[in-house]
Amino acid sequence: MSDETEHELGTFSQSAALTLGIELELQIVSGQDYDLLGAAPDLLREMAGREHPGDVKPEITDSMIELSTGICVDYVDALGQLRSIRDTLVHQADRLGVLLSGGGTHPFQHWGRQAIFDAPRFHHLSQLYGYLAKQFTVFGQHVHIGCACPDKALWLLHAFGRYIPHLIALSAASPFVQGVDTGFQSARLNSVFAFPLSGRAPFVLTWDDFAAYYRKMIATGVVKSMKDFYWDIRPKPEFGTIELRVMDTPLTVERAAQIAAYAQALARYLLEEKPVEPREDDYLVYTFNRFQACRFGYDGRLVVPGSAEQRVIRDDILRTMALVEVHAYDLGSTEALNLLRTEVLQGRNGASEVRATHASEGSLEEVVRQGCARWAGRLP
Amino acid sequence: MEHAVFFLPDWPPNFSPLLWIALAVVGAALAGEWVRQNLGLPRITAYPVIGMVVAALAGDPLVAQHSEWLRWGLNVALAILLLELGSRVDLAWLRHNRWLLLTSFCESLAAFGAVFAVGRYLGMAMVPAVLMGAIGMASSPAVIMRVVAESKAQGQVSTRLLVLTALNTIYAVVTLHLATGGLHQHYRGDWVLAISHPLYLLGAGLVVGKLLAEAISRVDRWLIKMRDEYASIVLLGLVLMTIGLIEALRLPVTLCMLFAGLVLRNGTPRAWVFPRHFGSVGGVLVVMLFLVVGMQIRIDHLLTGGILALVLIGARSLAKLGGVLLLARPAGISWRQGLLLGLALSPTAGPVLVAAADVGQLYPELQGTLIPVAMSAAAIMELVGPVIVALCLKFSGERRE
Repeated sequence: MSDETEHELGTFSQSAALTLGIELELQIVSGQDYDLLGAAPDLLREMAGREHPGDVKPEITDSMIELSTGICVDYVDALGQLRSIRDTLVHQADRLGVLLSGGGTHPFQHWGRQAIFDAPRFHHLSQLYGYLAKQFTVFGQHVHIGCACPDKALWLLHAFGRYIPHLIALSAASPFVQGVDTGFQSARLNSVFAFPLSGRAPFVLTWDDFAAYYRKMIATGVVKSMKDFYWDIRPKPEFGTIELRVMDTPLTVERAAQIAAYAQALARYLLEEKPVEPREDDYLVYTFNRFQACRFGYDGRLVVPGSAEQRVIRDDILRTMALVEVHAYDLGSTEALNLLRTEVLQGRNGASEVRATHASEGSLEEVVRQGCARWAGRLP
Repeated sequence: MEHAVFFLPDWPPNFSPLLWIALAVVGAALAGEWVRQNLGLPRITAYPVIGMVVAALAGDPLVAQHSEWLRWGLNVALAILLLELGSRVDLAWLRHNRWLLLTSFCESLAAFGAVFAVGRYLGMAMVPAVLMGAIGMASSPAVIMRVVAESKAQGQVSTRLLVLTALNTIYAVVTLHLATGGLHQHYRGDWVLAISHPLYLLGAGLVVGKLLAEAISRVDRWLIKMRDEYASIVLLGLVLMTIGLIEALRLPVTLCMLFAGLVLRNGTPRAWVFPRHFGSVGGVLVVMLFLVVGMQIRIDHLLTGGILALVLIGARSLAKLGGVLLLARPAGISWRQGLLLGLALSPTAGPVLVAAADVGQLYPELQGTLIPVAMSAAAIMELVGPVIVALCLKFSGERRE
């Protein structure tokens, strides 16, 4: 993977439109001092041969582990799969005396103490990016949305750009970094932006144009495969999906499934009602909106693309939720949408919960401990 | 001529042993650094060696003259180590992973059996053989805590090493006290004493441990808000108070402190983490601890036990290794991790040795049989133990230096 260049973009696989796939990167935490712990090899060894849906894989540092669902038809399916994998993982973690947690960052881990997972691709990334690779010990949720054809995928990708702040505000769960309250709701994304190939995908709307762009990038030698692009949303030809990558891993699998369901309903709304035609100029306000969501969450302001209208992100989410409600109903995710709406109305997300725990308990170790209990579904 | 005020010191000057001890501390600390940088071994490997050399040069009076305050210093060092060690035992983990608890029983029982069998085979009487078996159960908390802390090791091998050490030390102390009861019965035929003495030691020991843990968790709310150094001072004060109490009540330090740590960790669900400087305070005292242990080792100690001591060490290490390996896979570690964990448990325990010495003082008849062999085995492991643990942690890949 690391040394072999993929000169041609693979063909875009067939996948049923609007199917879901969820990947969650998890923190492995020591049961002794609540710091990150490099126990991924142990967990993977004990997980081997256990029955569960989806997959469990290593990540760049050995204190991270990634779980992923199989292809899910709807919210209920996704939630069921997530819970089942979570339970299997937590059971093995219990045997090893380690804890697992959601959240976009570990509140007080020191990046210098992390070790790169022993696999060629990760060593390559570590050599290339130096300390950035270890600083990349952050934890995200990726949601795949199935697309019937590649051109539709690219259209959806760019139509989605406008709603990126929603996904950030809903999932934000990384206020603390290296023991300090950053003031951000999703400080994790600041680590992602440090990478040269992060940001947004180029504005092309046909698969042929995208393949041409890909070939040009390969020719420059800057990238070797699709994996080297760290875009907020990127097409995933092998799966026939677009992959939304801006979310922090939420504090619970329930929240992760709800956010995926919201993205799915939004995709259906965009594809069926075509409320807007994506344009390059939409991206003029993209980074501003994204920053506002990272920094202020629901209270941030976004500029509606193509206008000078500013909206509070909370209002924009609520307004959009009303628009996608009927689609959520058709997809069987009304419950998810209602739960999320309550959170938005109450101004609650992962970041606010982490801050509230810190305010009441006074110690970041206790914040981590409660985070792990919450992830395991053991907090009332 | 008037009598002159003679202010110059005697010649040759009369150096107090304190000077020698201080010199030994400096030497040990520097030697520790040298060992770490040039041989890649933990610093504490150097301390007992330096202690041994200093004692050989300066002679016996060194330790004897200062035994009172040295003993006190050692007690504090040990108390801090044991409190931290106790707090590493997560009962919820043992509940989730019964195999780990079973591993702990298994390796302790195997070690007891091996040492007891060797003792009996070599013609030791029943009671001393039981005492030695009990001592053999415990892995050295001091060596293991320090090597793990120094190499910043984290992972299955190092965490389990600490948990198993805490548990086997507890078993050893309990067995030892029960055996003391047996001794009372054996030598005095006093049943009341046989039952009430161990009951008092264990019961009161647990109560004092619980009291310390309660006291610490009461002040915990304030500790969080205090700067780390000052929180450490408060904790240290509480530990010193407890030691005072333990001495007054003639209770075992080992059990009280381990139990206090255990309650501290498991008494409330709240996350408990020691302030960082608390460990540093212990670190300074640990140099003294290992130095003094070394001072008590004489070259002839290493030899008197002779083959018997080596057989003892070998049988005990193999028993511990077997106990761990037997249940390695069901307990959730790889064979390789099991091998390293089993070997790393081999250092013998100083505090249990102290307890044995106490028993020896109560019953001088044992001095001839029990003490030399046990001392010899302990002395050898005191020198070799840290190296074994360090190598095991190195091969486990859990060191983060």
